[in-house]
Amino acid sequence: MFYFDIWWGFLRFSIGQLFTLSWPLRIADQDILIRGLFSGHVKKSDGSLRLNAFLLNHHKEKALSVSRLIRPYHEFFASLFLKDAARRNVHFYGVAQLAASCVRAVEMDGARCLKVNAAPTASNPFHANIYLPPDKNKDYYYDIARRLVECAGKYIPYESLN
Amino acid sequence: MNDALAVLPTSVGFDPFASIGLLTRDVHRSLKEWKIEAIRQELLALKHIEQKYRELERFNTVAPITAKKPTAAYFRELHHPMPNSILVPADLAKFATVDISNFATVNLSSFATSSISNFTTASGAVGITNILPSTESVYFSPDVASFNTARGWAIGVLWDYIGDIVSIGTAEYSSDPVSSHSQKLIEIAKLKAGWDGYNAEPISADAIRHAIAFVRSLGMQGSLFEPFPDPDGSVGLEGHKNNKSVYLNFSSLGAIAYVIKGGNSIHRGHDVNAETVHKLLDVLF
Repeated sequence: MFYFDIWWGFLRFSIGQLFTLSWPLRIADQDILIRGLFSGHVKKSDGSLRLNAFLLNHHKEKALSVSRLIRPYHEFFASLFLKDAARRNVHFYGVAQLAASCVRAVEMDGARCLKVNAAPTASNPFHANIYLPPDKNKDYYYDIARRLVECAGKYIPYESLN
Repeated sequence: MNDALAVLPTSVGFDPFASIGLLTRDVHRSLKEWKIEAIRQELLALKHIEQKYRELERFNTVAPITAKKPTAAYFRELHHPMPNSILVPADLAKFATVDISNFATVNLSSFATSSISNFTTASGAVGITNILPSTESVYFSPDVASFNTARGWAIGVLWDYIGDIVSIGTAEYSSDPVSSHSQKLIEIAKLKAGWDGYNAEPISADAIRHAIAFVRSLGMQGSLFEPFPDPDGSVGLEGHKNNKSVYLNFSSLGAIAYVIKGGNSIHRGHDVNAETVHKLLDVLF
C-alpha cells in the first residue's frame, strides 16, 4: 500500500509537470535533493555534516544516491528511509538537504563537474543520482564532498521530516 | 634597719648619709648598666629579629606569590618551551598523578605578588581545584577553552596546611592526544560493511593505525583532528583552527590525501607522506 501511495503521488506530480510543459524526470535547478543519513558518523554534535555524508565507496558506487523532495509528497520520504534503514539493518538519523542548483554549481579545476539526473527505482520514483567524475584521486572527492557539505549546511533530523 | 647600719663603717667622722648617697649612686649605676644591657640585649634581639625578618622577607620575595602570566623567561628557567597556551584537561583527577616534587624546584621570581584568586593561565582562564586531600592542596587553573585537549601544561600552586604557599610551578601532562577520540576510533574500527546505509566497506585496521600514528606525531596539535570513517574503508581526519580547515585521508597503505581550505584558497594533494603534511600544518597553524 505504501509503494502504491508513493507511485500514485509520483503520477500526480508527473501530470502536474506535464501540464506546465515540464518533463517529470527532469530535475530543475530549484528542486531540492535530500540524502538519507544512516550513520551517526556522518554528522557532528553541532548538527553540521561531515565529509563522509557525501563520500562514496568508489569500488561499488558511481553516484551519490539522493531523492527529490517534492511537496506535498515529502511525508513519504521519512517512511521510505525508515524502511530502507530496517532493510539494511542501520539507523535512520535524518537527511542532508541540497539545492540542485548548488550541486550543479560545484566547480573543480575550473569546470562544473557534478550532474544530477532522475533515476527512479521501484521503491522510490523520486530517486535521483549525483554523478561524480570517475577515476579521480581521493583529494578530489574530498574537495567535492567539502563543497557539498557547504551546500547542505546542517542535517535535518528525522523528527523534523514528519 | 639596725641590721643594715651594722654593716656600715663605724669610724669617727662617718657620715651615714654620705654612705647612703654612695650606695644610691652605685645602685643607680647598676640599674643604668642593667638597663643598658637590657636595651643592648633587646637591640640584639631586635637585630636578630630584623635579620630573621630580612631573611623571611627575602624568602617572601622568592616564594609566595602568584599571578602573572608565565613569561617565556619563566619557561626557560624550567627548561621547557613556552607553550602557546596553558591547557588543562577536563578530567582534573588525572593531575593526582602529577609529581609535586617538580614544583619545589621552580624559581618564582618571575611571578608578582597578588592574591590567589588572580591566578591566571596564559590564556586568561582562572580556576581553582583542590586535588590532594589532607594537608596539601594543589590548585590548578583550568583552561576551559582547551578542556578537551589531552596534552599540555598546567600551572599548580602547592599550599601547606596553614595556607602558606610552599611552591608554585608547572607540570606537563602528556596523556595521548588520541585518547580524547579513542571511543570514536573504537566505534569506527567496529563498523561493518554497509555502515553508511549504502555500500560502505568496513574500516581498515591499517588505515586506523596510520591515522593514530599521525595524530600522535602531531603532539598537542593532534587533538585538533577528529577522525571519521570513509565509505571506501579508509579513515579521514578533520581539523579546524583559525578559520582554516584541514581534511586528511589515510588509506590502508598509509598514503595521505589532503584538502586544506584557508579563506577562499584551497590546496589539495594526494599520495603524500606524513612529513609533507607536517610541514603544511606547520605553515598553516
